[in-house]
Amino acid sequence: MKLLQRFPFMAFVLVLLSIVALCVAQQSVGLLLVAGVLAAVSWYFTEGPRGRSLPSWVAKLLMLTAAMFLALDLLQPRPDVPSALGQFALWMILIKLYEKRTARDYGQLLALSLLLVLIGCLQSTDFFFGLVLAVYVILGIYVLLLHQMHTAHEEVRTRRAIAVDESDRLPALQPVIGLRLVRDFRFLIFTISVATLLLSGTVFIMFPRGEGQDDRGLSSRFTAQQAGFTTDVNLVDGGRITDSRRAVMSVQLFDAFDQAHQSAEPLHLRGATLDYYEGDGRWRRREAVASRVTHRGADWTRLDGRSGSTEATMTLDVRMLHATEVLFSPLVPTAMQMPDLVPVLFDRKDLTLRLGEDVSPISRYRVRFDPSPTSERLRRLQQIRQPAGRSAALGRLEDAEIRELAERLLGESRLATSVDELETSEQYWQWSREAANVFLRFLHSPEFHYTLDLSDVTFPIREGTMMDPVKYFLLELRRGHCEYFAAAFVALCQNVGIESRLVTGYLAASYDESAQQYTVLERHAHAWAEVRTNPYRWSTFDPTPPSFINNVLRDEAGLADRMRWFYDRMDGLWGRTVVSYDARTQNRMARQWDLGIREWARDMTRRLKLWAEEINRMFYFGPAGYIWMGLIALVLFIGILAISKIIHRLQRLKRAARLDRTTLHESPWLLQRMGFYLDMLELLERANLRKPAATPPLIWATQLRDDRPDVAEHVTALVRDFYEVRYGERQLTDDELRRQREHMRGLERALEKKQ
Amino acid sequence: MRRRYHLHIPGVVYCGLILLVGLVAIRGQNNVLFLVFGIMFAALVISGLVSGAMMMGLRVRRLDPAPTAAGEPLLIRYEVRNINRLVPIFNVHIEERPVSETNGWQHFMDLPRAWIMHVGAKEVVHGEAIVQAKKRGIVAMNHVRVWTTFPFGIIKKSVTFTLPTHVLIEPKREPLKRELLRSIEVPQPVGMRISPRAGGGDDYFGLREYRSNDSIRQIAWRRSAGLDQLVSIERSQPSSPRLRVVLDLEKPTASLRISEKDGVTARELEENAITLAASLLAMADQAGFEVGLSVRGFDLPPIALRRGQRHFRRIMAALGRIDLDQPRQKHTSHRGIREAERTSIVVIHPDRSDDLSERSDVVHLTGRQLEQLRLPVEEKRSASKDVSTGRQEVAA
Repeated sequence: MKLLQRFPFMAFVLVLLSIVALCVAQQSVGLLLVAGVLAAVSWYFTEGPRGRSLPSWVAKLLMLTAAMFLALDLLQPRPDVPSALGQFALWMILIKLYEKRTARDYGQLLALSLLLVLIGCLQSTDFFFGLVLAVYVILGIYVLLLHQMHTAHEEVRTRRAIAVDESDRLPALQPVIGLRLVRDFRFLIFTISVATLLLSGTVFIMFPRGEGQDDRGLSSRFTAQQAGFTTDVNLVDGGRITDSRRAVMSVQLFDAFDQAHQSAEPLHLRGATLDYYEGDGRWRRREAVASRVTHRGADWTRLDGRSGSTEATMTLDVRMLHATEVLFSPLVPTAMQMPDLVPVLFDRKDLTLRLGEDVSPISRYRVRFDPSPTSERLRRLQQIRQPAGRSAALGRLEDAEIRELAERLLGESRLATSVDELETSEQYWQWSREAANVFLRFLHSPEFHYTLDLSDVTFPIREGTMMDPVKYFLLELRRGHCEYFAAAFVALCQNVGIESRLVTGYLAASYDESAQQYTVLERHAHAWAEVRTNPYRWSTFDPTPPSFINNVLRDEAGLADRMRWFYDRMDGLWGRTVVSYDARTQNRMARQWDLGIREWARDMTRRLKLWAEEINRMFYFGPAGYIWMGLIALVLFIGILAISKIIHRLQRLKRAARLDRTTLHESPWLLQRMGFYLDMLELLERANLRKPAATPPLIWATQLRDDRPDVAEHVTALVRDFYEVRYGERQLTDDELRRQREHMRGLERALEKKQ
Repeated sequence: MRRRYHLHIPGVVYCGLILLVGLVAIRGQNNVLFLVFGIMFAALVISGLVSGAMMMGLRVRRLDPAPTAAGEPLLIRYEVRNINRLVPIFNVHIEERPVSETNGWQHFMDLPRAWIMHVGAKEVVHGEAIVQAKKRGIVAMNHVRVWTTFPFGIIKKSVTFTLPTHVLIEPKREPLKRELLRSIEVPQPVGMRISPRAGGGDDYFGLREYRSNDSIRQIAWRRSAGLDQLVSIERSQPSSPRLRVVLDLEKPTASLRISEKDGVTARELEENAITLAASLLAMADQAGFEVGLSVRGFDLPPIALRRGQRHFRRIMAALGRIDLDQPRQKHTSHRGIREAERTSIVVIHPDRSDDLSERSDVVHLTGRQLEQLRLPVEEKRSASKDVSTGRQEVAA
């Protein structure tokens, strides 16, 4: 009985949950507080010690008022219909919660709660709302099942009260609820929940989708959520550097033997290279033509355009929390692998990867990279025929004071202060490396401080123009975040003729030993610099003070952080799999499945062929072996069918002859001789004359006399034979068997005649 | 056995809602709504599958209902068997389907409906439907429908079994005024009340050998002295008062004398007469009478004067079986009253008394008098309280 007693409370919880769902969807804390408190108090009001309820007329008056408010809302010039309907349904629920509740009222409450959730679906696609929705669905299944039984119980109790006079001695209806019922009920709920989940997932995946107008919006929305990373840098207006601990991606690093590996140095995951300075602290990427590399299914695709397997290098497995169009990778990417045929744009000059223009963002990919590539490999990758000379002056940050500073630094280090002093290209590359290291040491010196707090910084105006932020940082400010350091480094290099560029991306340094993966947070967004140190090679220089790196390395994830990461991961999963699911994803999945099924079919055919060949060899069947094997398989198939049919017939016969409790060994001869009885029953069943299970055969034969005397004559004779065999344990004589066959034929004729 | 899926209002509303959600989802390409659409659609399909699987292994047998009286609850029991190996059955309703015959149950009572909350796999459970029988007669029941809307109340699935049976509904028994029995009891000489059997009365019956535990007062001292052994006096058994009810239904219904002022139909008067006979017999039986019944107008042999539950049930069954639509027999061989029978006789007519002239001490009652003879409501309550208290005492 406790099971049914639980219903009112569980229904109340479900209604509360629907109120929470609507408030979450409308993102209204105030509404949640008011409605939640009112709903919670209703339980004490109606089910508490006094058990009061709202008078019917008051409830009706309140409902009328709510309807008037709804009408007023809808008459507004541009009404927000879902919000108005949601609030109307919410007030209706609250009023009903304070009313006296019968089984019918519970039904209405549950319907209203469903309406609230549906309206919530119109208003929100947030993960938290999805979470509430999932809980609502599971609890809803439980409550609906209970509601069915509760309603039936109440109805039967009412009917019984009407039928039985109060003075009568019949006890009140009290269903007995034992352990088995509870177990069965739980089993049913589990089965239904799992089945609902699977089926709804299938419907969700297979339901036809259009190229909805929201597709692009959803995609861009998730790209924008990769906080900390953009494809340009603005030192003046830049507010994107954050201290947020929100997870962006998880990265697994594998060595050449496919073993999880932790790098000794933090991994610089490159997203974009910015080689063009627009002035006023703004850097962007110069337009470049990227090669289109089409990925080939589940295989690795080499980025150097060659076919064949890739050399054993390091592998990076990246799982983004939100779908991305930029593929982050360390220097130097050599091959890539993605779950689908996705066209990828590979910028050979910058060695960066991103998805094609019309491709929906992806959330997982793998990249192979070579941390110390040979020049030959670099040449192949970049497809350079002539080694690069000195870079063009376009887009350089050139400033006399910066140059003076750079030259002073080089002079102090006894290095050439100008490119013109170098005679050969080897000397130039050597000098570039050494000079870059000088500038790096300079920026790592205690004169420079890393800080995110630049709120007090105002760039000075000189002669009517703002002082260049990079110059101001280098010469005066000397504190800032990674972008300032990287920009200053590039400025120093470029002013003495060293080819360099700014790089933005993430720094993967926080390694989780248990999961054997790096967790990259928003605060790990980073900017650094690259210097050309060879005709084909760019080297990474990170001018940001080591204190920043140490901070990143010291990241210790507390419980709250881990929970937050888990939530973020789920949020990302929700976004990728549910909210941004579109026709393109659907097509991609369909192609994958198609490929998978074909692959599986091919594999199975191949295995079957091998297996057949092996058997053929084993038994020396010769060239005609396959025909023999086919024949044997056919015979086996027919044999299995025949055996199953015989077993089925024997079981039916045992049931018909009430031999259920005896084993087949005890009564084999009985079963052999009673086949005629089963045939008779089958004949009669086909003519819609089924023997009731509880009626003894002879009585049934007697009953048939009234309706079908022609049939009853034969049935009676056959039933008598059946009794002789079954209960008399007698073997029928040849004459009796002959008569039996005649009766069977007679029965067939009589039934055919009637039809 | 016939299986069916039924269209019912909640199911139609639900399907409409699914369509609406689907349309809104398609129009707005809202994936959360697509997900909800999937869940709702899955619930619809699973509802059909679960109820189908449950009903697939369900077998029902109606246990023959015990006779009851009109106005009393009729208990119909059903045996529900679940032959499924795995799937349990939940929340099934069992109800009778209308019978096309004139004596179909729908003319006698409201819809009998039983409810069974759970039948585990391979289990057998009994369910009961309780309804109030409205009138007497032989009630025909044929088809039993078992239905369920479990699990979500969206799809109604039913299985119909053919289980023909008949139930006897005895006539209604109204509590009558207590004076009625006293007024109809024929005063008889004391000797007439002595039974020719030994018992616990006051009159001398004979002598017998002394048995241990015989009271000292029972010993016939003088006779014992003469015989030189203890002899006890045996007393006679007192005879119970006797009542024979003669139900006079000789006149066809159409010949009964009624007017519009009466406010009742002829058939109602006949039913009243039967009810009065049943009520009187019940009261007499409770008061310790030996009771008997004769019915005029039908070829029913008179039931002899006896006591006991079985005899009483037999009389009530005879009254319950009377089919007033049958043609009446004018000249039955017996008139229902034997001159030699030492008994009080009450003749009950539907409309008005008709002198039988066999005996002078016959009491005549009519169906019209039922209202006057019925116990007033207040007394009825106290009577029923007495009866229930008495039964409780007996049970104790």
